[in-house]
Amino acid sequence: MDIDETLVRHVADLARLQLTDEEVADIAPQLNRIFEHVDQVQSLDVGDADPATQSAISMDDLRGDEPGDAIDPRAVLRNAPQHDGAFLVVPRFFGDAEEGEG
Amino acid sequence: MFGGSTPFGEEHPLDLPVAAMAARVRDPEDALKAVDLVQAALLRIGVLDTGLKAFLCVTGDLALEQAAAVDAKVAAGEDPGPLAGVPLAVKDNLAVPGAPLTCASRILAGYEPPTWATSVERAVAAGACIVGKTNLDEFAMGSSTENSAFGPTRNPYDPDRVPGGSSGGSAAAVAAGMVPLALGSDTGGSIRQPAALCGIVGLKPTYGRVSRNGLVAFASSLDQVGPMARSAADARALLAAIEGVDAHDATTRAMPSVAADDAATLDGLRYGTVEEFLLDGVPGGEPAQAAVNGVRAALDAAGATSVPLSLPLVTSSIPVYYIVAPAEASSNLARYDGVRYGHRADDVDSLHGLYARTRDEGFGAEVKRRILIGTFALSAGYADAYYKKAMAARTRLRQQFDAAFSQCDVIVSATTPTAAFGVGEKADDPLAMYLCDILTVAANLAGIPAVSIPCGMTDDGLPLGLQLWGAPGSEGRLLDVAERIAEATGIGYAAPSVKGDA
Repeated sequence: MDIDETLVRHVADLARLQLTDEEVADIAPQLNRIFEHVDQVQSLDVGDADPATQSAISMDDLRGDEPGDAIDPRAVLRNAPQHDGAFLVVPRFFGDAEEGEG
Repeated sequence: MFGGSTPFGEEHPLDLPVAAMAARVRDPEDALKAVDLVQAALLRIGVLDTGLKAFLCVTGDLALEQAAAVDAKVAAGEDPGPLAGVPLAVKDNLAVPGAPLTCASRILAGYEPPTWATSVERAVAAGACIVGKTNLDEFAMGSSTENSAFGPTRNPYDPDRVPGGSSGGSAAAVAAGMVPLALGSDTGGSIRQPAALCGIVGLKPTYGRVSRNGLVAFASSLDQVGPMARSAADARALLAAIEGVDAHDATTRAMPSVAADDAATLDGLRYGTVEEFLLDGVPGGEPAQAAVNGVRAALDAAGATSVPLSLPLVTSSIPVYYIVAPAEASSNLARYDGVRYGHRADDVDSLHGLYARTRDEGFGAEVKRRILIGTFALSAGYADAYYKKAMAARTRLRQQFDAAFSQCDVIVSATTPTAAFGVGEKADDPLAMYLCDILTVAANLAGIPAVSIPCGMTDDGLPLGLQLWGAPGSEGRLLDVAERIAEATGIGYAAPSVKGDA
């Protein structure tokens, strides 16, 4: 596994992390060392085992869809960095060339 | 510390077993009130925590209000519950309305949760009083509590050493005697490892026993909330209060309650000794293995038999864990984007920029590292090789544990390869820090319960932990065995001589 700075920047972009040049330079060798260790996962003999599903939830596990008390929206909005009435405010993202993927 | 007689009798009431403490509060004839216990805990926190920094926030008003409610119930002839008046510390990744919820991260600056974590709410319903929120590695990612945005917590047995992590604040608070009980969370050992390094009891329940509603998600297929205490009996009391199915967490499952000690004896107990967990030849592992061997000798003397076992996949549990946990974390932590709560970057004119700048400013180095590991492991072309393979390895690991528990009642191992390490010692070497979890992560990967109990001290006076692993749902038996071991060996919590006595 060779994780170079270009790959770190690509992954950081996927994760919506705007790393500084210094952070990228620090992290690339760390990730290489970590993946050298975890790479052994690829060669593990797991026989015919299916991927674990211990957190899989069946319909039987879900509670009924019944009306009840909900959280007061005002209590939720109090935590918002910026809101306008019941709406969260974010920078404009339609019609913005930079946000083509958004 | 706090020795000698008190207005309430010879032994300081905060140092009583939880059942005895609550029994006194529940007795209307007894002069000891819940308010007295809370005030005593707040006093100890005030004196001791300037040095230890176990708490991120002290919730004195809330605790006194809850204590007054307990005392009012007693006065009215009502039962305030089995944890009546017992001061409880809560890891700061569990929601308590009215108190900040930080996860020791700058990205949650200013956040106050609108609802209760189910586990905390149940403890309060049983009479516990919340005295504060405890320090942790940011978003519970770490093994030393050094990854906190608010600075490290210190080990009460040696302030130059770490308390372990990520529930290091909860462990230090209990070990120093500031509170008798604390809640922690355990994704790869975050309850058991700090419990071992601080000489207390810490239990990771079976996946599904305790609701995670209101626990900030780290790795959802691994996370569990559990008790930290000075004895197995105290841990049992807290676990009995918080366990059980919750409509707000669809992964909870009905299991036999841990409430009763069914007095399992050591005579006839079959305990597994797993070859891959032995520390012979592991650098620095000698004292921990010697302490475990001491307990094994006591088990043998009491009529238990050792069953030699091999669990080959255990040796791969660190690589498997460090794929699964970061992968799930990278997904769970996508929600911190500066839109709905917490920190938001200033002067950004695009949504992408808002996300990316907010996250760079808000997250610490270890959290970023894990998000990158997880994002990479899940990215196109790699997900099958890493994540799916790791999840298949978990299935195999669980099968190996199931086979082991058909041959033995519990597995006995050390909790950590070494006692507490120095503050800063592993801070620059993430892989070395990850390897600290070698003896704990397999329980999370397999979804099985495990408890760390004190098992002696190193020559330097640092605590060591013994770990008991069980089949799914067997926490009751693990705690029975833990209590019998403490009785048979006389080894248990031994209060540290924390500086700054009051």
